[in-house]
Amino acid sequence: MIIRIDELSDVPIYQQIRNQIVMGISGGELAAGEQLPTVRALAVEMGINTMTVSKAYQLLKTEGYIMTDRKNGARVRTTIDKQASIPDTNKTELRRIVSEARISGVPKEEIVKLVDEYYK
Amino acid sequence: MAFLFGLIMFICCTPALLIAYVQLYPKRWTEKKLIFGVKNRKEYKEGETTAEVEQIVEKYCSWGKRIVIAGCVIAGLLLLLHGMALQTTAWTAFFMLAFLMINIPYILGNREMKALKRRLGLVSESGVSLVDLSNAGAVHALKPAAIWAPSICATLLVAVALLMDLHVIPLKNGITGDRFEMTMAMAVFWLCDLLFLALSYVFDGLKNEVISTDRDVNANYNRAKKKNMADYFVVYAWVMVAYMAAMMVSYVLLPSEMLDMISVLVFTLSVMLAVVLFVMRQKKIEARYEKEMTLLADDDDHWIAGMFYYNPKDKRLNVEKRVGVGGTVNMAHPVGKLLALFLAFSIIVTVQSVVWIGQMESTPIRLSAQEDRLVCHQLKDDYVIPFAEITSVEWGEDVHSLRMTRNSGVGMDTLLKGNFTVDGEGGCKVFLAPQGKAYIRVKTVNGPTYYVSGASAEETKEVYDVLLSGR
Repeated sequence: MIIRIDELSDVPIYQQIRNQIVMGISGGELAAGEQLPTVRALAVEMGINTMTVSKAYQLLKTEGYIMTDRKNGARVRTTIDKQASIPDTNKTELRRIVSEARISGVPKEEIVKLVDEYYK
Repeated sequence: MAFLFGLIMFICCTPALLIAYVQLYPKRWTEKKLIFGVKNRKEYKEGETTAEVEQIVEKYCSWGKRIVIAGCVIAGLLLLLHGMALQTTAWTAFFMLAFLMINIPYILGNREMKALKRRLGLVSESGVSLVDLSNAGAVHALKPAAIWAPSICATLLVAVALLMDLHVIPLKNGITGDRFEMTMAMAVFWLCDLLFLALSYVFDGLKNEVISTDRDVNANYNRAKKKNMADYFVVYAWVMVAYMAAMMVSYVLLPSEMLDMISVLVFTLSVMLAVVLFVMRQKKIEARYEKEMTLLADDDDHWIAGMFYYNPKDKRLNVEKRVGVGGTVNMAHPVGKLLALFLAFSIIVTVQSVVWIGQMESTPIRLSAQEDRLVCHQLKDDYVIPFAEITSVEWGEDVHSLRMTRNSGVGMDTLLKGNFTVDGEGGCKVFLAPQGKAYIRVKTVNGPTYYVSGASAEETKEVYDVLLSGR
């Protein structure tokens, strides 16, 4: 799985890492139980501070996407908690995206098509 | 001897120049990932832009070719120079100038490509980096046993040399002794070997380049590159061990300057051969993966002149080179800044040394008796000896009959100047032009003994007569 980090983005780097790993899990690029690189290895590869990667992993662990232990490092959880609901913050974000698309004239079908594509 | 030295330099410089040309100037630019250090984009291969890029590439490749041809011709002519000091000066100057010149068309090409990119409205993805999560920190090719074995051998050789110099291992022949010559000579190569050991680990841990969305392609490409690099370090380390062993044999059994020079020649040839093979393998790897390079981050803006990496947001010190093989440093990193300063300082010192040696070589020494003192002059008054301090003067017929060891100063074929140990007497001041053969030994009150001469035997004799009569 390829992670794309944009240093000039408004989104903090740890958030970018978190988001892309979540997208990787959702899209099947990261399989259940798959080993993730160590904090140090990923920091060296990205040329960023180890604390940033550590923060992203911590966030992913808290949210239940990955599990970590001293012996095996970080792995994608084999069973991810299925809440079957969208958190309020995400709903607000989705509303903003849909609103912007509507204002700029994007047809509803186009948005639904994209959702279908991403949901596969 | 000077010719052998010239030959060694020729073997080093000309292939290095050719390798630099091959690395810097793209032959089939449409298939390369970079053009003069600027990312090759599909926009360059469309419509009228193609002709424009073609023109830039042709123009600067042709310049590069001319510089390489001129460099090789000049290198050939340098072989004809006489004298070790002249050869050293000329080759150092040539080496620096040639490598500066070969980079100039590349830098100009980089500037034009960046200008074209701006004109086309293409923007670099400044600040964007790609990482293959599956391969992060997982692609290595260095085998610890392979790289540690030559280092252990080199350490053992230094230990044996030290024991010989300490007379713990007794020797019948050879020139080992109290001055730890053999240990010092071996230690230099041993330290180089340790440096290479450390570098091999640094290069093996470099960031993996992301060229494709396929994790296996990325892993194989980076593993192939790292294996090539690791193999080069291992071969180089063994060549150094072989040279150290040859050096020890030379010190212990057959002390001979000619043998030393031949060993250096073989060592240089082996190293250059290893470099050529390494570059060829690297090119083969690049060619193998050319078609699979679908994903390359465009960080052109971080590369000054397409060769110096400057990215304050990148925490890494070592990064892969933009062109050529090996690595370079991030100049925005605090250690990178220090290294850049050190490099600039080294270049200034080398240039200054070349100028200084050239002046020493071309300015004849002058010995004169002025009023009440003896003056030894070259560029400045090196020694001024008042007649009142001179206790005795002796005429010597042949400088070469003196057993001299330089402690500090200049030791050229045409000039000996500084602090020397002469015939076992330490702390002697020497100011001699050996080609004149004649010399004067001047003893002073409570001071050092001077061995001086003029540029010619006649000049020396003239001063000797004055010293005898007028003092």
